[in-house]
Amino acid sequence: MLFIIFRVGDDRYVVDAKKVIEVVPLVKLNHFSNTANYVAGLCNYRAVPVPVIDIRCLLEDVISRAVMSTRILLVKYLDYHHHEHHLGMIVEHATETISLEVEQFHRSAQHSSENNYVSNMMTDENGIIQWMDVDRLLSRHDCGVLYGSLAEPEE
Amino acid sequence: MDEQIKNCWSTIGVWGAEDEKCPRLDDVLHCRNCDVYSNAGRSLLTRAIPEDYQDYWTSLLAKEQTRKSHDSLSIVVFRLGDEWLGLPTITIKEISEIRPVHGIPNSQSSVVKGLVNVRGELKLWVSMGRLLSVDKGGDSDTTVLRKNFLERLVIFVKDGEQFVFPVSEIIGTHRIWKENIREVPATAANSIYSHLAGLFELEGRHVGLLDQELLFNSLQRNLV
Repeated sequence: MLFIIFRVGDDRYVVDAKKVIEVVPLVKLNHFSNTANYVAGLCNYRAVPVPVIDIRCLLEDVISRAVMSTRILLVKYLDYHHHEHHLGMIVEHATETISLEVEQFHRSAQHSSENNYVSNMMTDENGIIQWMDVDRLLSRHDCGVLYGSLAEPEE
Repeated sequence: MDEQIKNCWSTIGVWGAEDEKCPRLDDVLHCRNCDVYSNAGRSLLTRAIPEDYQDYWTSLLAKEQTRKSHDSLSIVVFRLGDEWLGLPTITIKEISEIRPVHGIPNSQSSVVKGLVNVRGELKLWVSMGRLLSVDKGGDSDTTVLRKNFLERLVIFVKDGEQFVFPVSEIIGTHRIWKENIREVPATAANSIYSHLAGLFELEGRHVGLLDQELLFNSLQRNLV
């Protein structure tokens, strides 16, 4: 199974490549008011506004560095009602894909909160790789704020 | 990352002039297989984003995606004198260096120039310029050396028959969307236009797409 690997600080994370529509450079974003601080803004993706979140900000409360290797992963996000939306994820060091077997991952112990987006992890010679579940990135509240106000007609 | 990149590949690596070679080379054979080299390459991406690059991508992403058409045609584009022409890649068996042509005694055809030896096989050398009435072109600005340097032989194959013809220059293989291929103007009466299936634009040039059937039929008619 193919994953896109990126880093948050020194930690490595992967997302399922099938969830990713496109990897684009860090484009300029429009301000999205009254949202959580990890929401970086709105990106005009093919004439449709797409909320973009900063993964480093979500995890570490530090804004991702504006360098070439920091990119936006445009992913298919499935909300709590199983509606598909587009979501942008700003991630650092998104320069590589990696092929990993699902069996290599261990289920992690913590799955208490509703947004336990890192549920599986594995180790290789360079350390731990954590699998980020895109669909669990947003809390129910944030999801409502991001997609409720956009009122994007689906289907 | 502000740290200086250690360019070991140009000191003790394969591009190095020193006698002492990197011990890793025993395993990886070439620097490009070495993770030190690839990591150094990736670290180049750890630089600030140029402003215009960001602007360009912002506007590019905002645009509606152009409709993806799966109807495309792979075309080898070449120059014949002053004319830019293309043939479907599928009809071209090979592109080779210019080889000497051996004349056929008592040949009446103006199109057939002779025989050419391509890897031990004798093939018919035809003059496309003569067939299509294309001038060799006044290569005033190109030197003889450059002219010879660019010339290639194209081996055209159709229904098992092969024809070899020289072209002035090969541009390469391009994938052209069928919707971008325009029709040939009906008023064009030139011999070249009667062999065209369509016209398309490539990097500012107008390229005529040769109709393989017409070309093949025309070649066969002109054999004798």
